[in-house]
Amino acid sequence: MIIYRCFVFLIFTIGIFTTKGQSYKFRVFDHDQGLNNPFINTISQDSLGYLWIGTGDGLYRFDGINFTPFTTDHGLKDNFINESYFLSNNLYLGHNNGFISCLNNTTVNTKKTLKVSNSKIITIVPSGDNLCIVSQHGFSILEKRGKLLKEVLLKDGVIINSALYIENNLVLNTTEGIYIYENTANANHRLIYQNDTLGVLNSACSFNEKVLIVSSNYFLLQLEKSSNGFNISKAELPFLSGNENIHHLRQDYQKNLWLSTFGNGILKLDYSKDFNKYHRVSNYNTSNGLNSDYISNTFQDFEGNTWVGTYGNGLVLLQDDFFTFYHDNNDESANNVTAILIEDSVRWTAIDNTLIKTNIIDGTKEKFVFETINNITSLEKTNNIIFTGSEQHGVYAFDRETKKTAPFFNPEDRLSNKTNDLQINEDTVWIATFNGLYALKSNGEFIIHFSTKNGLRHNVINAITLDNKHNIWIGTKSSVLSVLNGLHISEIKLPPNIQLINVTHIQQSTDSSIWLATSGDGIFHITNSSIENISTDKGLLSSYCYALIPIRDESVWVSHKGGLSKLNLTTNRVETFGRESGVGVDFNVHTATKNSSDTEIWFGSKSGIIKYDRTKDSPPFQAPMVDFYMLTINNEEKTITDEIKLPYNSYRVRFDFRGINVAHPEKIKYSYMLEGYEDEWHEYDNTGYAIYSKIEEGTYQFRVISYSGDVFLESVAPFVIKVKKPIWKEWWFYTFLFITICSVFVGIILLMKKRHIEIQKILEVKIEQATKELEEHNKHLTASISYAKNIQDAHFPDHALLKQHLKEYFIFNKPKDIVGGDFYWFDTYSDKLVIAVGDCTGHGVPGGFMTMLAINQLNAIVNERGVTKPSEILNQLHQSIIKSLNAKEKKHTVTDGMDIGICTISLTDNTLQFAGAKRPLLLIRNNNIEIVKGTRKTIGDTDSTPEYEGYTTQYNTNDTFYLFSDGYPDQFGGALRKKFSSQRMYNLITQNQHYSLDQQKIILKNEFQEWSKNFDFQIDDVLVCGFKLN
Amino acid sequence: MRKKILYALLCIIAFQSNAQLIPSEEENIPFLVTFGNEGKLEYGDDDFSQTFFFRIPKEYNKPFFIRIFDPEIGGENDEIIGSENTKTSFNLYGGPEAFSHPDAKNQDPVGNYKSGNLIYSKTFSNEKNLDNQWFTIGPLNPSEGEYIPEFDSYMFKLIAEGTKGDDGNLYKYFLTSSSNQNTPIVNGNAFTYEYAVRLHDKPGAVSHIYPYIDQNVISIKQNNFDWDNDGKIVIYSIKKLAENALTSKDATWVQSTHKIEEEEKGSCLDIQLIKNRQEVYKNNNVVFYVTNQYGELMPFFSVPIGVFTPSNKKIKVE
Repeated sequence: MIIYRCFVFLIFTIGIFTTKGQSYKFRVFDHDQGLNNPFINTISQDSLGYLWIGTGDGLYRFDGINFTPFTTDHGLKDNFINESYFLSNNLYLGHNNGFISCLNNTTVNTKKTLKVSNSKIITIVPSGDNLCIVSQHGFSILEKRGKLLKEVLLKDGVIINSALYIENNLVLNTTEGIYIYENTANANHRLIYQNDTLGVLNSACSFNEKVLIVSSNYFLLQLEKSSNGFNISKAELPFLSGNENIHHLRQDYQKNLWLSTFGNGILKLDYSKDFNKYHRVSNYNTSNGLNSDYISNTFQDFEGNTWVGTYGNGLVLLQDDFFTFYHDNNDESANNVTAILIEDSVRWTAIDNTLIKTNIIDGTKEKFVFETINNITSLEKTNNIIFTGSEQHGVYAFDRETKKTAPFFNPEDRLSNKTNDLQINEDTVWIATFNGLYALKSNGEFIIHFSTKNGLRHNVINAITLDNKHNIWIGTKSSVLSVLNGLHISEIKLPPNIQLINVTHIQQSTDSSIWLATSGDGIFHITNSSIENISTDKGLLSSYCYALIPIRDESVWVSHKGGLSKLNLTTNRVETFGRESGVGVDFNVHTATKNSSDTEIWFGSKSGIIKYDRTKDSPPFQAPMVDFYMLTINNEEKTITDEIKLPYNSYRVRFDFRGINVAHPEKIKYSYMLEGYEDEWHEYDNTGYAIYSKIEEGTYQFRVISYSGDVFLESVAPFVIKVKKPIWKEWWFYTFLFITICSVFVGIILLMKKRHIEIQKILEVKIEQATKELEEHNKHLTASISYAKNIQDAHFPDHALLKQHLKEYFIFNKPKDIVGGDFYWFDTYSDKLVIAVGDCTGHGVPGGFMTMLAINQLNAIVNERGVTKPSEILNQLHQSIIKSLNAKEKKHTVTDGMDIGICTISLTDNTLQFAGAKRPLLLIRNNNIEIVKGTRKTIGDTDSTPEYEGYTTQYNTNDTFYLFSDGYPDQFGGALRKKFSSQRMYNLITQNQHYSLDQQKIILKNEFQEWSKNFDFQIDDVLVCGFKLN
Repeated sequence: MRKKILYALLCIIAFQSNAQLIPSEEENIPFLVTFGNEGKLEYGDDDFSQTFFFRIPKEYNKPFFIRIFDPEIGGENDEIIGSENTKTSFNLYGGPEAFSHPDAKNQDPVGNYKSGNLIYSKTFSNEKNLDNQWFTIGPLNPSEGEYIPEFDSYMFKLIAEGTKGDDGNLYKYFLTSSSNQNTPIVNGNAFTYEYAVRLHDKPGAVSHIYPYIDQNVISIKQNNFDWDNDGKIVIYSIKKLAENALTSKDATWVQSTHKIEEEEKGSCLDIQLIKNRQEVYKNNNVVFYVTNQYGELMPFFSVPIGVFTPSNKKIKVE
């Protein structure tokens, strides 16, 4: 390595000159943007954030993008707008013809116009709850409701030029002097400063508890309230010569004073809280970017942006005046600033091989051209020396006193001459090169060289920085960050997800943490405990970061190709600045630095220098307010009212809204929610509308959160949408339905009941008729049956005959109906007595008929044929019955027939023969009962041809015989409603043998009644016949 | 016939002049003059007030300026009587009635001649820095004037008044679109109903005044004040060749009536103020106005010379 110890005069001074390269960025709004009249008389802002621009030919509403005109076609009284003032949502406009117009800013309708004066309206100022309308000839007090309360005219010839309302005093600046109306209500006034040579008093504004007045003849006057009233004196303001031709005054929220001039642009006196005085003046005029030097007024909007109303050149937005631009308009090639060094009053900048020294205060410059080197990449300084690192020719030392330079570090190898960065630590100069890191003493003596041979990860050192512990942070293209502490190199590993980063710039913030800018991976924040990566996903303008500067732990500024990013360390949000802010330029790598007081950052770009002034950068006063300007339901625009009621249906609803950020509409983002429809907010984006395709019954409130910069604001749409429930979901519908159903039900019931009653009545009538008929019929039938009974009884044997031939007997005949199917038969043939008890199938009339048939057949068999043998009688009876009923021919089973028991008593031999068809014979002999069962074949049964068996016994006179039908034993009754049963009957008969047969009949009869009383009816005919033989 | 053609050409040239200097070059009047209100009538100013109207066409919506040359008292051009004790105020009016109010168009400053809205006011005394220099009023917004539909233009009224002293303020106006240069406004013009002017000192010098004769004029009555027998006043037209008009004496008004021929309608008269060729008569200030047969004041269009031609009116050239 060769170190040059002698200074070589390689440079020379080109010259000392002064240039005005400083400029600001302005956005002009004129005819091209829809602002058709370039004379801006007034600027005001409504509660929604819209700017209202009063011009010489109409009023314009500006939403940040579009200008909407309002003229006499919209009801204004005149197109010349001289003054505007907002009271609540009403914009009062003062015209040139003495009229005022009142426009509602929400409905955008002209509410009222009123003739106030014959001369033009100068200004409108608040007067308590009312408005004071000041014209050239006097003033009027206007009640909020639009009624003129008082009119005060000044004397003839006195013209009012401007007015101000201060502490219940109306200050009128007139051609005659200054009038004070101490109480506008009673119009007491006095002339406090008479001087007809004041000229036109153009403007007045409140100013540090005074009133500052501009006089065309006497420049600035100040009016101050004292115990004796008001004192007036010439105002003394710094930085002003008196020839500024001030037209309008305004004090902004930060107490800065803005002076609009006719001819000299805008003068801004910056107020310092610390010193309680104006400490700096800025002049915005045509020489530094403003499009006019004739300024009618300035205005500060809710977000703190300054708007400039020019007189003849439209509306101008002073864009982010915390940026100042230094640009050589004459030579574009002289704008590629590759290195900057800032001292208290001197700025050193490197452009190509030229070092430029600029006096920051007066703008004078000196240029020094390094003929033997190409691009200067970095600058560092000691007390006397400016070290210049170059792209290919090492490092040179420039003596600021002698203005001579000499090579400082020019090693033989090419890569070591390629210098990226420089740092100076006490007497050591650190040089970041393409061949590692070199350390030299300030006198050029070599100290050490770090490369991959002794611990570095890469030989190309992109950036280095010296921290407050004298560590050198070394940025290379690597996955680790090297830190040099003395001769020891330590490494900080990046998070595992970061493979390789290309460090472009390293800076330490005041909290000792380290910030890295990288090319492609955003920025990194390294603290003792963490490493955080911030890139485009967090809002950074680009992941390619060329330089970064942390400011007072408040923010970190990052330069990119095409703009700047500002990371707010308090909110952790990123704000970006690009073309719209005038900083959409290509910044150079690690070309950024700040001043010693941390108030200014200087960025070098291919288009000159951009200075950021922190003291001018105030956060937005408030987030953009949202105007819900259109509501569309089912593709039909709706008039917005407080409550929009819709009948039940499914609706497609579109909400159109816009956040009013008049200066930076592109920065607004929204999140929205339709309360009543959803519970969560939508993601932030810049879409100014929301569509809901299926809105049904319910109450809906639309809400929007607008976000711009670091501030948020939730706005509620000024209307509620109510979609009615379908009637079937209304409570009254249920009630109605219930009542209806009940009514119908009751109605049906009543109807049915009515019909039932009618039917019942009909039925009753019919029943009555039928009953009568039945009764009649029954009567006839009963009579007929009764008569049949007589006939039947006539067929039964005569009791006399029975008494004649029997020793004793009883007949207990209890047919179920009038006539019955049970019968008894008795006759004599020769010496034989034949007695039979039968039970024909059926009972009643059919049974009766059968008994008649049986009796006739028995008469025929016994009396005519002479058959007396019981079995034979039965056989023949069987055949006769079948024959009589013609059952076989009918080829079906005939159930008609009879059970019968027949006894034939031979008186000659005292024998008794018995045969039974399913009926037994009871024989009580010596109190013993003998049961002689009959053949189990019914008379008339066609299924078989029965052969009835006979029984014969010798009887004695004490023997008692019983024949009976099954009616008695089969009768249901008793406590358990059971059959009486044959056994119970036998027992009954046996137990009562000691009684006579008549008595037995009574006992049987009583027992039967007693038994059957629990069973409502008699189930069959009952016939019991008991007899004793002689 | 040749005379007619020549006269028409003169009018056309005059109408198309872009120079909006008042008084114009074509009028060959060196200065307007206004004395302080303590001046004597024999100084040549009858009312110490001079009103000029400026017309800005509606289609012009850029800032414009009115420049005053030598607005102060003293120095090179003004007529100082004793000490420089005079103040002259220049008040510019616009808005409703600035032009349309009848008093505004009276030859005398009486009644509500200051009608309209005061837009600008400036009083000059003896500011040395303005001597022989241009002073600029503006920028001005055209729409701040009074809109006159028949002119399709905005009208402004500039009143110069001597508010103090007895000196004569000699000055000129220029209607311009530039704040620091005399750049004429296309189709803009200026006129007055009563001309208070300073005549040339040079013997035989001729100044011109060009009142326009419309179709309704049958006769005119020229009025002049304080001519002081300084030469003669003659009238030229396509039908008149050096028709003499009566001239006034010191501090007096005189008038003469002149018949208008049919051929003269639609053109302008050339009223020539011809200085005495034999005697040198310096600092002669004259006031001049013309009325028609009804006594109505007729405007002198100084810029362009002779006549204002609204866009919907054709210049009749024979």
